Amino acid sequence: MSDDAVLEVTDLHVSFPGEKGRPLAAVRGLSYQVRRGETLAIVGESGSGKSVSSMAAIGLLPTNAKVTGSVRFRGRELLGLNDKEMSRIRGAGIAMVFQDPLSALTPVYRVGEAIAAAIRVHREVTSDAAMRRAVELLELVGIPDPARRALAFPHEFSGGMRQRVMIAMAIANDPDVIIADEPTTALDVTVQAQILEVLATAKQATGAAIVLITHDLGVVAGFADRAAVMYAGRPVETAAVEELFAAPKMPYTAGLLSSLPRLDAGRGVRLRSIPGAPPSLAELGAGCPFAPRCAFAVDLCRTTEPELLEIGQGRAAACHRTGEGLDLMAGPSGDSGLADQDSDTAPEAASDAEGAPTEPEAPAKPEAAAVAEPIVGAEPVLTVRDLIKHHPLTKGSIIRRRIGTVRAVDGVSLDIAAGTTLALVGESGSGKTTTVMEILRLRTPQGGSISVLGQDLEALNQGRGVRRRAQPVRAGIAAVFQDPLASLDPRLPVGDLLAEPLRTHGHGKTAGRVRELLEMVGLEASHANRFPREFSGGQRQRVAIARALALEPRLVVLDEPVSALDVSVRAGILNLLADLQRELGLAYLFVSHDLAVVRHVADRVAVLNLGRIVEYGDADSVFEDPRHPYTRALLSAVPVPDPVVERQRERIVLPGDPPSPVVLDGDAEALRGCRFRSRCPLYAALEKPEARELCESTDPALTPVGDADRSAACHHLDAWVPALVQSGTVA
Amino acid sequence: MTAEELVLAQEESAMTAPEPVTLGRGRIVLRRFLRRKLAVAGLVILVLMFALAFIGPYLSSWNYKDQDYNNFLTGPSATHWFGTTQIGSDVYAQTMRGLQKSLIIGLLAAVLSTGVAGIVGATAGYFGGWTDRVLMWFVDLLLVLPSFLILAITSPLFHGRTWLLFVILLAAFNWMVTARMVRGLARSLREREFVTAAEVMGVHPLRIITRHLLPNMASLLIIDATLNVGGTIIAETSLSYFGFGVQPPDVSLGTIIADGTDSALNYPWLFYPAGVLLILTVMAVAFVGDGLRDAMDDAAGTASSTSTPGDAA
Ligand code: SF4
Ligand code: SF4
Repeated sequence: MSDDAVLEVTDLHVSFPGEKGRPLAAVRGLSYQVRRGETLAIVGESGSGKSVSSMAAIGLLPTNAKVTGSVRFRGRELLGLNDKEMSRIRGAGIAMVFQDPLSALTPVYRVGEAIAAAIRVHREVTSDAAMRRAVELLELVGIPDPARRALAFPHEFSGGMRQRVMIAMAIANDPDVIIADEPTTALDVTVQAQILEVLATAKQATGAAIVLITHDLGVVAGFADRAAVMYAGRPVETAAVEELFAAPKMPYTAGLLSSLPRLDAGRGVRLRSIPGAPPSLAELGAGCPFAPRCAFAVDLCRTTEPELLEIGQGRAAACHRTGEGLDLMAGPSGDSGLADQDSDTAPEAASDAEGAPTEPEAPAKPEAAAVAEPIVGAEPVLTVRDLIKHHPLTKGSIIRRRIGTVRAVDGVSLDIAAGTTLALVGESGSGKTTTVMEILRLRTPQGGSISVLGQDLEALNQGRGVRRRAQPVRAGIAAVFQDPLASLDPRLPVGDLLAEPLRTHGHGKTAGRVRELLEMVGLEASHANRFPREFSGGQRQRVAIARALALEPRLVVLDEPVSALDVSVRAGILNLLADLQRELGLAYLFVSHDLAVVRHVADRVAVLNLGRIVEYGDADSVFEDPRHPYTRALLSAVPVPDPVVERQRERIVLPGDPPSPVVLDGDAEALRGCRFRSRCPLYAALEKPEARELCESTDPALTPVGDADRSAACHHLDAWVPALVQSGTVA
Repeated sequence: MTAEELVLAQEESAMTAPEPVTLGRGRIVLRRFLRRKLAVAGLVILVLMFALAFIGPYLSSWNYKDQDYNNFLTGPSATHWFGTTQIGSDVYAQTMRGLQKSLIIGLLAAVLSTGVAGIVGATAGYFGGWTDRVLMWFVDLLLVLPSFLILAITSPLFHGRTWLLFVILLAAFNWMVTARMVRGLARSLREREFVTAAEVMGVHPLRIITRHLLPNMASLLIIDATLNVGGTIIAETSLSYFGFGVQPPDVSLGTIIADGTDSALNYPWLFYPAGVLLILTVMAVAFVGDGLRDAMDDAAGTASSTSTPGDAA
C-alpha cells in the first residue's frame, strides 16, 4: 500500500510550548497514507488536532511548534525541509483549500493574476499563457463568464465563488495531493453542494488525492473513501467510509453517529447524547481521553491509553473493548437510547474542577411530561402579518446617494401557537435574522404587523411610557443566540448574567432563582461564580438558555442555537431544549440553516428565500413531500450521514449563489415575476412558453397546498415531475 | 488557565461547595485581585504613603510654613532630617505636606478625568446620532481651545478658592482624548451580540453603558487612570503659575520638584525626597492598575488567551 501512496504520514506528533513550560501536545501519533484519486477524510471536533496535523504536514505551523515523525510526499521526506524547498512543493505537489478563502487570497491582486502568478512560480510560461490557463481553470470550477471575472478582485466574489477560485488556484499546477481544510463549513447548504461537486471535478481533472478535513459527517459520507476519526490529538478509528458508518468500532465514533439529528429520521426522536465536552489539550491525563464521556469505560480505560490497533483490512480502532463485540450504537444498558440514558452518566469529579467539566443532562422528568401536555393550538404567542423591513443601500462616503433598496424582509407572515415550535429556515440573505430582530426589538414594524403575546407592537409603541409598558412583553419573550461566547458578556460572572433579566424586571432577590435556573439546565449552583470563558461551548449555551428562561417566558427565539457548538454536544442541547419545552410549555421560534436539526425539532416550518416565505406548513408534511422547488433543492442538498443513502440520493444542485436581497433603484425588472427564477430548476426545465411566461410576469403568492395545513408560493406546484430534475450525484 | 489558577479554581469550588454563594462581579474581581502579589504590594505602598503623608508631619517638630533663620540650604541633619531650603524651610515637613496634597490631587483628578471620559465617550458611542454629534462637538471644542487661555480668563473667578476646584479643573483639561478613544470602542462594542442581548431583554440604556460597555473597556480606562496619576501630579505645577491650587507657602510634590530641579546636583536633598516619593506613588499606582486589569481580564479570559493552538483545529 505504501508504494503507491502519494502522501504518507507516519507517527506524526505536534506540540506547542504551553504555559509553565509544559508542552501542549496537539497531535499525538497520527499515521495515514493517501493514494492518487483517493479521498481521505480526517474527522474531528475542535481541539482534535485535525487541522494542526495537516498544517504540520505542509510546514505551515508557527516556528515554535515541535513536529516529529515523518511526512513523505512521493517518497520524499518533508519534515526538516527548508522554507524554500517546502514552498516549491506546496502549490505544485501539495495544494491547500482553506475554510476562509478571503484570508487566503491576496486582496490587491485580481483573481486571474493571482492564479497566473501561482502558475508562473512553478512553471516557465509567458504571462499571457498563464493568464489563459487561469481563465480555463476558472471555467473548470464553474465561474460564469471567466474571462471577465478573472479581472475582478477577491472581495467582489461571494463566499462560494471565492471558494471556487481557491480550488482553481489549488489545481493550477496539477498537484498530487489537495488538502481541503473545512472547505464548505462557512457556506450555505446549496453552495456547499456546489463546492463539493467542484472538488470532485477537480479531483477528476488532476487525479489528485484529497485529504478532506471536516467535522461534518454528512460530507464525509457523501464524499470520502476512507476516514480517520480524531479525538484529543489521536486517531481513534480509521476505516473505509461504508464500514465506519455501518459498524463503528469505537464508542466515540458510535456516539457521534447516533447523536446526529438526521433528515431521514422523524420529528422529536430523542437523540443519544455524549455527556461532557471534548477535552482541552492541557488537561489530558493518563488513560483513554474519551473515558470521562464513555458509557463503556472500565477501570483499565482510566489508567492506560488504548493503542490504535489493526482490526481488519484497512480498519483500526483505539479502544480496549473493541474485541468484545459490544453493540456500541445501542448503549451499554441495551436499550435503544430512547429513554434518558444520557442523564445517568455522573459528571466526573476530577475534570469538573478544571473549568471544562462534563455536561450532565438536565434530569428528565417523565411524570412532568404527562402533566404539562402542551396546549397545542391554543392562542397564538406570536403573530406576524406581511412584515416588511427595507433599508436603503447607499454609496459614497462623503455625499451619500441612495442607489437601491435592501429588501431584507419582504412580506413575511407567521403564527406560533403556545407550546409549539416553528422553524424558520433559509440561507444567508434570506432575511431570517432580520425577521427575528424585528420581533425581538419590539419596535413598530416598517410595514405589516407583529403581535407578541397578544400585544400589537404598533399599539404598544404609541403614547407615553413605552419603555414601561413594553416590559411585560419583554419578559414574555426571550432569545438564545448562535454563539454563546458572543452573546454572554465576557466580563460578567454567570450569576450576574442570570440575575440581569431578573433585576431588569424588578425582582429583588435573585440568588435562589439563579441557582434554580442553573440546575434546570444541568449546571451546578457553584458555577455561578465563574465567567463564561471558563466553560465549554455546550455549557455556555446552557447558561444562555438559563438566562432566557429567567423570567419564565412563553416564547423563546432560538437563533441557530447549536450551529456554533461541537457536534458531540449538540445532541445534549437539543435534548435539553426539548425537555424544557415539554416541562414549561414553551413556544420556540427556531431559526436555523441546518435542515437536519430543524427536522428534529420543528412542528411547523417556514422556508424563507429573499425575504419571503416560499413554503410554510406542518413539518412532517413539508419534509416528506416538499413542493416548492427551493425547498426540494434545499432538502436534497443536505448531506445525510449514511454513505449508502447519500450516494444514491438524487441531488438538485441549485446554480449560483443565494441571490442578494438588494434591488437597485430603477431596476423594475428585478421585481417582476418570481424572484426565485434565476436559480429555479423547475423554471429552467419548463417547456411550455406560457408556463415560463407566468413565472416571468407574475409574482407567485402563497397558496394552500393539498389538504394539509400548508402553503407554497409557486405557479407550478403540480408540474414537478422527477424527470425534470437535473440530477447529479456528488462523489 | 494556568495550573496555578486551576488549583485556585478548585479551591474556589471547594470553598463554595457546601453552601454555594453567588458572588457579584465586584467580589470575584476583588478576590482575584488580592491573589496578585505585586498588586497587593502596590496597594500596601499606597496605604503606607497616605499614612506617611498624614502622620509624618507630627513626627517632626517643624511645620512646613516654619523657617529656620539659622539654617539656609543645609544638608540633612538631626534637626532637619531632609535638610533645609534657600529660605530655611524644613524639607521633611514640606515633603510630607506636598505628599498629602499630591496624593489627593493626583488620585482624585485621575479618577475624575477617566470617569468623565468613560461616561461621555461611552454615551456618545452607544447612542450615536445627535447625542454623539453634540458630545463630540463639545469634546473637540475643548481640545482646540488652549487650556491656558480658559484658565487666564477664568482665573480671577477661582482665585483663592478651595483646591478641590483645582482638582476639577485639572481633570477638566485632561479627559477629552480618552473620551474620543472610549467613544470609538463603544461604537464597536455596541454591535456586539451581548449588547443586543441586553437590549432585547429590556435593560436600560444607561445600565448597558455602565454594566456592559465600560467594564469591557476596563483595560483602556485603567491604563488611562494610571497614567493620569503621574501626569496630573506634574501638570499641577504648571497650573500653579496661573495662581491656582497650591500656592506658596503651601507646597505639593510637584512644586517641590519644580523648585528643586535646578539645584538637584548641588543640593540634592531639595529634590530627591520628593522625587523618590513621586516615583514610588506612580509605581504603586501602576501595580495596582495592572493587578486590577489582570483580575478583570483573567476572569473574562481575555488577557492571556486560554485557548490552545489545538483548539483552532
Ligand atoms: S478505551 Fe474505554 S473509555 Fe476509551 S473508548 Fe474504549 S471503552 Fe471507552
Ligand atoms: S413560480 Fe416559476 S420560477 Fe418561481 S418557483 Fe415556481 S416554477 Fe420556479
